[in-house]
Amino acid sequence: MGKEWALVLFTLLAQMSVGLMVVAQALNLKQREGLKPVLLWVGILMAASMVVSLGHLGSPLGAPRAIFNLKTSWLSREIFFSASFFVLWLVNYYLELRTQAGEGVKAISGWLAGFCGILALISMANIYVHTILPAWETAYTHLVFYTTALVLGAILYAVLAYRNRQEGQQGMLKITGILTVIGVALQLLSLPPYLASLSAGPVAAQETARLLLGAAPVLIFSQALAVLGGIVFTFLALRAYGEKGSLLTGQWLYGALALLVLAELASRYLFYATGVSITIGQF
Amino acid sequence: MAGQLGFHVQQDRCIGCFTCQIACKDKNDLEVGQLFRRVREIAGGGYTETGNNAFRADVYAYWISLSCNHCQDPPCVKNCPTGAMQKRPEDGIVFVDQNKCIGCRYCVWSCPYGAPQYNPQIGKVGKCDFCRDLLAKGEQPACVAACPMRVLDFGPLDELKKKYGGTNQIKGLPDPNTTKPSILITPHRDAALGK
Repeated sequence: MGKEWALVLFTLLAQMSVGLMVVAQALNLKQREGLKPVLLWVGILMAASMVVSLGHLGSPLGAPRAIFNLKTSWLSREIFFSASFFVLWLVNYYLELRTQAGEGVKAISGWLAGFCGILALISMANIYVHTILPAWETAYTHLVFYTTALVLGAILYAVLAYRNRQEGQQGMLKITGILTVIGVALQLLSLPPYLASLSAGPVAAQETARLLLGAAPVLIFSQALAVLGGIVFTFLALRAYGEKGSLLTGQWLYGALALLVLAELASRYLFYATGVSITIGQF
Repeated sequence: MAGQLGFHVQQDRCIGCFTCQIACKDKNDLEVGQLFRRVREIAGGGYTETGNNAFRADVYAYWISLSCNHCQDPPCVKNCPTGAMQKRPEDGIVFVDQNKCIGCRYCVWSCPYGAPQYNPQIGKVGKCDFCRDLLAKGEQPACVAACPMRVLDFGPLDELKKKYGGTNQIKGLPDPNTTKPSILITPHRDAALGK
């Protein structure tokens, strides 16, 4: 399917935004004070993703028409829920910053936005599952999209929360570290079955597997970065925090974020570059 | 629906002259790289040594002319986010309203026959619409009218079935069960399934 850079960036930014929102809500159930600096980035990432997504369209000015077929089109649903997520985020951000609303109201508005974001992610994955491209039409797409949201959301939350609160961070670092490791592990474990099923599939699936093996350096690079950033660096950040090396903790966290973003970028690039149509060589 | 329209392809008579492809391209004024109807050669087989310097040949080649199959369950219509891709109720013709198309290419990813064609110059998708303007004037689709071998025919699918029989699956075409294509092919002897 060529180099769909607009979609590579759109999906990554949107998944990071939704992941950040959900992780932030889950880790601030009782005390919402730490949420404010994090929430700003949820909005920035989602706004950026929506602007970037226009780059994929042949006629960007018609973008609002993309929600006209909610009844049967997953693409319509994705755009609808993504836009709703952004609007609900705006409401939640306003409530958190500008009003004296109760904690319960703020929490409900935050979770509503997060829930809408999750629906956007589910729709996003289903777009690709409902195509005729063997690289996309498997459960692997669901798994990769959700784990990317988890990994990037958790590590970005760790960085932002750490930067804004210097005390008592051990619990937060532990939980975000565990979430990141779970996401990276799921991605690693699901790759061999995905490759095996493509290799054993019809011609276009085998061609996808052949392309992936041809891009083995990029594939290995992305997985190695994910392990290094998501497992090694987060562990080192936690250890540095335990040893009162707070400066080092921050550096390991920033390093982990950079490596994980690079890893997911490389992985997502391959996702689009290996989308081989079943009509190749035929019709 | 008065009757789902479809194409019949008398494949065993096709000589691969590409006249249907050219007529379609001319009728729709398509740019280089855009084909609403395509003719492809499918070839295979080889020579097997049978001993005593003797060889048995089982090479084969046949042509297939294919456009949009105006499927009875078209995934392009289902997936189109704007409603630009539509299926006409009265005759089942699948067409794209380019005023509504935003060039997202989801239909291109959805069609197992590669029928929707993205045109980067206008940022929209185009496809075979069965020459519905010609049909409205009582004329034949351009590809059918142009075919010198009378390989192509069109009409209500049930009438084509009675007239020709045929099948909607031959070697080299995707499984028809997912989209139910409105096409009937009288297959070349090497294209028939089970051979």
